[in-house]
Amino acid sequence: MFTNPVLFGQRDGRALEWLGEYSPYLRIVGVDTDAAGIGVDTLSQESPPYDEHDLLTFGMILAALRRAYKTSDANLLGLAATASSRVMQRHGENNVVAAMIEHYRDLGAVGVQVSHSGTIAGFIFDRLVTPEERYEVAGSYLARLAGAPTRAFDYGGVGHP
Amino acid sequence: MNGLLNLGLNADGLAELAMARLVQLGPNYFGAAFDVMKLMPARHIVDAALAEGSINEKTTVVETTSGTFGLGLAMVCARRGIQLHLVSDPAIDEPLRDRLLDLGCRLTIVDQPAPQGGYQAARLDKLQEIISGPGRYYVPSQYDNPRNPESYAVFARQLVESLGSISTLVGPVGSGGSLCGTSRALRTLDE
Repeated sequence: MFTNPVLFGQRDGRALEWLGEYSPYLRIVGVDTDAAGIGVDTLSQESPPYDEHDLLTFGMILAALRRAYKTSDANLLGLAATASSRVMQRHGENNVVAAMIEHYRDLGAVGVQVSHSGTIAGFIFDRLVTPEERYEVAGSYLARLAGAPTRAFDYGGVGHP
Repeated sequence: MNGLLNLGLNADGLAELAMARLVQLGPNYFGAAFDVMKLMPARHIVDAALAEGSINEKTTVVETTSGTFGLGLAMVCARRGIQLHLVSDPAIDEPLRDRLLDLGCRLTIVDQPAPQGGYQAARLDKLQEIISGPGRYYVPSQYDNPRNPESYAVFARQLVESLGSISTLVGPVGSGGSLCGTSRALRTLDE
């Protein structure tokens, strides 16, 4: 796989752009929002009918990602991920993700990430400034919300994409 | 089509000229300076009209303006080889008038204000007279054209890519295109 973050065209299966080398140091507390989920066959799904507002948003998300991976900016990466989650919500409401977007700031997260063609979602935390107890609070909240066990993992850090 | 021709509309030097220079004015406070303020919307509007076929080689672009939108149009139209006819009034300053003429645009100056609506109405009447005549015309209508604010998405991306997230945008309002278009794009990151 790739050693640095890339913009990945999942349907074409190729990297479209290398985003930068300074990944913010993050912790993701995530869950499968479909408790009985058996996975999603991405390629069998139609691409959503993105409108002009979605395309405008995608352009801004890409600009934010370029900046976030150049400056190791966890907050900006969180904004970009959450904007992406909102786009997904416009094309198919997921109640768990809706609640996550509404409450992530209260839980001390910098954003919400979702897999657009799947059912995995998570809170994004800035690992450098977030007190340990926040992860547990967020994990408990998410487990109750989704009715499924959560998983936490770390990602990035300068020099450690 | 060969590789050089494929460079097409983007490889014209106007894209870079349309971008803003970002100047740091304080610890978290930046200014954006445009060399030609309205080049961004002029380029976007004309190129979109070319792409959709509203402008072809026989079209004359006609617009009423006494300011920088006219200059932006003149630069884009000169580069694209499109005829441009601008309608203005005596308020147009001499250096701008000279630049427009140097760029090959046709300039009509209305010399009398309309009995109702003053010079602005007189300019609009003249524009109507021109486009009612024989020929093929395209009127960009910067005040009503949604592509005016839309064009500033490029500027919003430049801001975020250069500076990160923006909490407050301060700017002047003329047509409202720059401020509305920039803020609409910036807000997509935090709706």
